Amino acid sequence: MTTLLQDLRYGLRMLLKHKGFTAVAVIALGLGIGANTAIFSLVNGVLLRPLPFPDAERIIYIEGKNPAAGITESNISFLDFTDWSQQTDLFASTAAYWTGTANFGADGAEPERVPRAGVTTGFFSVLGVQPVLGRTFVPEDDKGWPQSVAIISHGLWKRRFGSDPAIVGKQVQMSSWPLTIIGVMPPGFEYPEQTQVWVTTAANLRDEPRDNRVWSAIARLNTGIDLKQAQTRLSAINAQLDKQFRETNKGWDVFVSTLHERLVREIKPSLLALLGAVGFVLLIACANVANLLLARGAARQKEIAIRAAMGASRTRVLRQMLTESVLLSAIGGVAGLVLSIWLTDLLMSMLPEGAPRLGQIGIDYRVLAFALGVSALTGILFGIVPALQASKLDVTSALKEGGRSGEGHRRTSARSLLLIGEVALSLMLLVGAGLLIKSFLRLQEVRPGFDARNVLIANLALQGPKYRDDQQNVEFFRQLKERLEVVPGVQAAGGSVNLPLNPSGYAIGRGFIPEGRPLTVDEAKDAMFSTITGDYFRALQIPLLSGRTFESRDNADGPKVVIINETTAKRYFGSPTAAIGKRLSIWSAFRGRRRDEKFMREIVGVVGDTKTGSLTGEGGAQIYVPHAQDSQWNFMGLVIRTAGDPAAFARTLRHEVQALDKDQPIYNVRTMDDVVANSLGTRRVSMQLFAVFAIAALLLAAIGIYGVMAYSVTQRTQEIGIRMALGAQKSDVLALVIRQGMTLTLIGVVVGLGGAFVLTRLIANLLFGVAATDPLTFVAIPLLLLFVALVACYLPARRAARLDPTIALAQS
Amino acid sequence: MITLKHLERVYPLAQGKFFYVLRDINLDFAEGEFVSIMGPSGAGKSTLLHILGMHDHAWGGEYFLGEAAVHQLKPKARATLRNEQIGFVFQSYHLLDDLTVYENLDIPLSYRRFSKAERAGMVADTLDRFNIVGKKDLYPRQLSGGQQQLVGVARAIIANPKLLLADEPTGNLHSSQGEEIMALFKKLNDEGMTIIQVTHSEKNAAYGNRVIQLRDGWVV
Ligand SMILES: Nc1ncnc2c1ncn2[C@@H]1O[C@H](COP(=O)(O)OP(=O)(O)OP(=O)(O)O)[C@@H](O)[C@H]1O
Ligand SMILES: [Mg+2]
Repeated sequence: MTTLLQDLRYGLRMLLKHKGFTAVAVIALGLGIGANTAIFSLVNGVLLRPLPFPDAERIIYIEGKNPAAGITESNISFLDFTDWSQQTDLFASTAAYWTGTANFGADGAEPERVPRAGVTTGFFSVLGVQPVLGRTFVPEDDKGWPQSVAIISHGLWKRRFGSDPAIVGKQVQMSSWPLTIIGVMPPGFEYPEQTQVWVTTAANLRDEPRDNRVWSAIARLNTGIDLKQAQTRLSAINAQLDKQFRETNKGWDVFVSTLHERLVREIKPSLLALLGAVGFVLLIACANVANLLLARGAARQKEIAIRAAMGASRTRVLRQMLTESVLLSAIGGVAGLVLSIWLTDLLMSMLPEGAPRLGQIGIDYRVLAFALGVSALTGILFGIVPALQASKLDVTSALKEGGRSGEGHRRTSARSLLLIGEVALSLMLLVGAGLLIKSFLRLQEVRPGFDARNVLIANLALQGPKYRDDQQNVEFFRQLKERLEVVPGVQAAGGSVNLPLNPSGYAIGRGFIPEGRPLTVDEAKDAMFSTITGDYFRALQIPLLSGRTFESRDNADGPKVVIINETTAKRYFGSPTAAIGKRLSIWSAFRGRRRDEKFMREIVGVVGDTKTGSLTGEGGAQIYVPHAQDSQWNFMGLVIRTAGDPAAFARTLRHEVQALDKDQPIYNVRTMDDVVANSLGTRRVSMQLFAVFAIAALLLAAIGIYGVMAYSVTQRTQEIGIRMALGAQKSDVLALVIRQGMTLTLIGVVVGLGGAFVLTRLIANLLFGVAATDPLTFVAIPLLLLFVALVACYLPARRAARLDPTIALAQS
Repeated sequence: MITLKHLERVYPLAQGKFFYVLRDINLDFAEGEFVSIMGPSGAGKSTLLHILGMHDHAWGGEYFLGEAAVHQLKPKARATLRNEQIGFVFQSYHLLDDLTVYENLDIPLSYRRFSKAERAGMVADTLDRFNIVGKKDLYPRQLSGGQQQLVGVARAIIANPKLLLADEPTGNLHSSQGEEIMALFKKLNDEGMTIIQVTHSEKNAAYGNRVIQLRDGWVV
């Protein structure tokens, strides 16, 4: 213990004595540990921390899939869910729910749009949460449409009702219907998504078709039941349903995952890749500090030799050296921890809206333990090689030489190995970053099928008794379009129930059957379905390839018409022109009502494909029908194309909507450019971070190469002098040093290429439009690295070439 | 062969003062001479030799080597001239520790325009001539001081220089080893090589045909 204290005190004195060295090392380590801790706190918050529910690992999420139809994740149908819920030996409780938004009004104040979920009675017991006020739902609450009771979030209670303790029993308006508040949930509970109001599902089992796959489902497993058992049993039930309900369930299977896994599924690969990348940066920083220590070790040979001569054993010397390096990394760790607090905030602000579990990110014992562990580990990591070198010293020769040319082969080769490793690591990181950047550029080249510039979008859901008649909906949107069109600066206005890139989180799939084919499930072709109003295609500049767009004659009384996209036209009708005049019928169901149209629609136009879900996805088949001929929709994503900055028209849009009906708020007002940018959000962040880490790695490697070469030049001063005296010219000396540095770099590059070849496969699922072994990246990145290394070698080489041989020779 | 006119070497000191290491040196060395430069420590002997060896370029005056006016040559031309004409032997041998005897001998050749085969031939000849074939794969630290200096001399003359410069070549050697080196110098001189050596020993100077005395930068 006293020796440890002694070592610590001596170590501290050494660090204080060599302030320059200490500062460089602490900065490198602080940055490395800080970045690692920040990324780890993200990983911790999102991936490691359990969900804030009791026994959260027993909560599962149930999804549908239909491999034959190419559907890998899907919502589920309420009737299937009811069948699964019968398995009471599997599940302690189950719940189905839907999400959406609603106009929420209270006390006569202007209504606001809030996220709302309709949940079955078991919802709160699956999650295991209790209200802080009032009660949760009981079966008697679910009396169908419209709902009569609601539970609100703690946040809404605080904000809208000033934490009124007498809130339970109070009446509010939800989409102009009266509701009674029966409970308030605890702070922080907003599942699913950011739900503020929970209502009953209002599912009508008699009307609900089995293929209305719009529901989400969760369940709490009984103790002793694991995920696999649940999966097997549910799959077996589904196989049964497949036979029993061919028409609606053919090919549909189910798969379960823990709720936690489900929530982080999309972001997990990025986070892990980032953690790996930032780990590499720390390793490179360690290699640099180790090299600094080795250089210093050479200067400390005499001290160590004297200690050894005084009787210090090898382990004793080793321990003292390690104490010093761990002390150094501990200081770096503290700096890193402080830095990480700031970095974490920065990271959070970079993440796209709606990224999961952000609320869970912060510094907890796990993050602290990580920072501590990483610091200790790095201390040992960068300290062990120099310490071993120092402790292996041959005392007599070191004392005799007085530390002059004691720099042996061992130390030099240790430095070379560190340099090679450093170069290899940074090459791998650079290749990874190169691939991600290339993917991102590819993504930006993706033609979404529409022109996002100068487009403003907003959502509007008409609610209240006025709009129970479908024709009222149609009329409202028709009038809105006419009003908007005459506003100066508005070039086109229209709307669709689902916009490209899915900004309202709302997509509708429908089947269709070309005329002449039997009306069976086997003949139905899946398509994205949009009911549109106004000048939708012109507003988004989706090109018309043949035929015409919808006109006012395509009303409820006119012949039924449809517009299809290019892919559909080519796939099922031969070509855009051949499709005109052909007919199809639409086949599906929606929200409790069978929506098979019992008539044929004539194809009057073919438009270009648009990206529906994301830029990375395939557009697939798309069909459009006029709102006047599919009038059930009270909901529209509005689109207006403007002459100038679209954001400036938000007020105009709100004004025109309120002029028609002051009780209808528009929400999610955004420019289409924003939507495109946000659809790339997670990718952008991981690309940016990867690029930052890679550049940091490149810089560290360059500094490392420079440091090693500069040190080597001072070590070789005399040799260089001799060579010059023997006839070496400046260019020979330059070549000598550069060749040494570049040989090491080249070995590092070769090793790194091998590593990159293996490791980039791990980020293959983060890539788009570029192979994990993209030849261009695998050639360009090494060239970049070699060039940077050349510059890093050139500086010490130039110094060597400028040596005065008479002085260099005199150095002995 | 060599003519020096008004040669001087000045080191600037602090506060604008100067320190004259060599002053107004006027010397002639004929082809085939074996000259010894002598004088007390600090007299400027090494300085003069480094100027002659073209390691040092910061001097004034005129220096003719054969036909060439060294003081008018650009650095590149100087280096070429030096590589063609001059070999250098150091007091402390200055063999490269990490290279074998063979490789040490190859260094000067690697900086001159010789093919690989020529180089191998020249190294082999030199090893033979100095009777150190058996030592070619040894490292300097495995040789005695005398043997190391033998290699140093061999390395200095391997590229067939006309002029051999040696700065206290026997300064680190026992007298018997020193005598061997001097005998070697004598032999080289007899074969036609011009030699200029710095020495503190009258005995060594006796091997040569002329002695130049330096004192405080002056020829006396
Ligand atoms: N870089 C320098 N800056 C200033 N003075 C120098 C420098 N190099 C050498 N001198 C001085 O020049 C003088 C001549 O040095 P030189 O090495 O030529 O002496 P020397 O005659 O070879 O002596 P020794 O017999 O000890 O080798 C010395 O007084 C020395 O201090
Ligand atoms: Mg001298």
